[in-house]
Amino acid sequence: MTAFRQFFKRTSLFVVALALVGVWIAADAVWLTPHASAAQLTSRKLTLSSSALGSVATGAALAGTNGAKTKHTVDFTLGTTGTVGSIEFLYCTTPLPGTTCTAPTGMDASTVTSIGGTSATGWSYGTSGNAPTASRLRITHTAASMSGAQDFTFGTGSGGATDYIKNPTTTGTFFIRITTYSDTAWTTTVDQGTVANSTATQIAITAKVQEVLNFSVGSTVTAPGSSCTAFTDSGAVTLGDPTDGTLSFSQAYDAHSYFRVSTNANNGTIVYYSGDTLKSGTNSISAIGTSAAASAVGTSQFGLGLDSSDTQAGSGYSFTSLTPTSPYGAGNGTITNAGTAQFAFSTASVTAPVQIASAAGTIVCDTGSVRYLGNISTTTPPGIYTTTISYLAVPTY
Amino acid sequence: MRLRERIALLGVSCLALILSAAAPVFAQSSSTNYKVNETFFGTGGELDPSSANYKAQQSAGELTVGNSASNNYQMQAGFNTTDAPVLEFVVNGGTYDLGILDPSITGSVAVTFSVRNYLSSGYVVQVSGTTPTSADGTHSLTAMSSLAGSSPGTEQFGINLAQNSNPSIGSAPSQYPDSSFSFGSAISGYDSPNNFKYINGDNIAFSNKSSGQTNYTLSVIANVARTTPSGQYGGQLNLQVIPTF
Repeated sequence: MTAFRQFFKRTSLFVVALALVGVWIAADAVWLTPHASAAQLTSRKLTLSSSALGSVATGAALAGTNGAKTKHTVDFTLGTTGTVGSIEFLYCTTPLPGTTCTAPTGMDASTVTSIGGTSATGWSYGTSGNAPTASRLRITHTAASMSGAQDFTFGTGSGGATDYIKNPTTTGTFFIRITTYSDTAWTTTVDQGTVANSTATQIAITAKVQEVLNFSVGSTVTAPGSSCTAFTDSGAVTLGDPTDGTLSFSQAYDAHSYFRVSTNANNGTIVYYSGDTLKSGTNSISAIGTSAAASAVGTSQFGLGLDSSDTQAGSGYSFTSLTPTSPYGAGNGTITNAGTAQFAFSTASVTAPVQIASAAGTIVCDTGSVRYLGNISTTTPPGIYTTTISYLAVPTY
Repeated sequence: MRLRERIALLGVSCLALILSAAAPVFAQSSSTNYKVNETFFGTGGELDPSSANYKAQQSAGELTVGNSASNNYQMQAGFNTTDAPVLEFVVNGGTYDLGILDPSITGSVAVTFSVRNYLSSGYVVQVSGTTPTSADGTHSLTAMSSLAGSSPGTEQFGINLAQNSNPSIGSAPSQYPDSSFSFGSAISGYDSPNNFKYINGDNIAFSNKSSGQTNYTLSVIANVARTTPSGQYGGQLNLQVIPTF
């Protein structure tokens, strides 16, 4: 009997101990059950069209620099294959489902109206008490079995000016707690998971580009090279016989000078000339006129025109951006009597420069070849005839 | 009750306490192939002991700490791990001036940012925004759509995350506290010294697993041509980190 009592006492102690362990395990199970009730969504991520603060509205809506009008794309893979009727996306400052959710400061998701993404078909936002709020989106569809990867975009902009999400207005991380439900009333939890993203300060890049105009005039061609090398000679030109420099009433003479221009003026550049006709004291050779005219051998003529044939193996005439201005664009051709080349000249250019070429935008490196025509008549007084023609480039920035 | 029986009862109770202390607390190490909830093997520890005057996390006798990973798994070891995912993204934004751009010299600036990401499967850093545009909106600097070196006289706008000598700017990503804990790096195309590129929306940095802090230096360069229209230029770059959990 004594042995039986001792056995019973020992056994009771073990039973008490085992019961204690059992209670402990059961308590753990109770405490932990809420965590284990929902499977986890996997491969979860949140992509923003912009990480700018919600107070930054730079650029177009949905642009990378506009935090006031963004779209949020949420991707995840369902942890449970089964019926899903509704999903909740809850914006919080902390990640863990089941804990208190504090909405990110300043964010506003209440204005979204459309759902995009590859999984959007059939889904719509909840209405009434389940409609989008500043920090919660609830979507629903006809309950159906679902599995695999899901992709939803909120704030696609397709619904008009208000179909956007405004990012939080403070810098930092925010979370979306995602919960799927088997019913269409956001009641019976299936899966849960959290995604994160962060607003960030924008990087503003500034720079200045100075106005540039490289313009030179010369009479000896030099290759422009990659840097648009300027002409550096005096620009002096002699019209007449190469041996003695005299003009003749029986033959027309010509000569060329050049101008070279490069500019970053994006609103255009105009090239003008300014000067008088050839003069010797009070005597002068007649300006050929302000209309295009051909050489007339034996007639007093002084004119100029742009000679597109004078390319000088790439160092002479080369208009890429510039366009000759009429009547100065046909200086190429023959200068024999009634030849094909056309010239013009206005003595009024002394006080009112006359346009001979222009460009609408920037000029990389254009070279103009100006051809001068000299004819005299039998009554042209002898003498040394000279003039100075100035060229001006006027860029508009 | 005899002493021996009391000792036995006490032992069983202690065993129960130890068993409950090792219960999972739901921080996950996972891959596509497995998942292990947070489990502790060691002498002991306590996550949140506190009083009115102090709060602490403590552990003792931990067998291993930190992140371990291969192609098929990753784990966070240590008692003081948390089940809350963490994302820290700090961009030292603001206004960065490339100065007066001239066809003979490259303008450059360096911008730093850092990423720390816990309990994720990694992250990517994405850059977006337009290249600097003239104030009248008529011209934007040409983005370097393919990898190339800096070429003064040719209009270019590009970025990278490398240490460059031409121009001398930038540095390679650095790991904090060290490469045992942090794993972020530049993505191919943005990791080549002296070579730059800029494509709006490109991913420029990544970590393929949960990572401690990685410090990045974003080098930005710009060159202008003779024909680059004059004026004030401005643009904004937007950096975004996208973690995958």
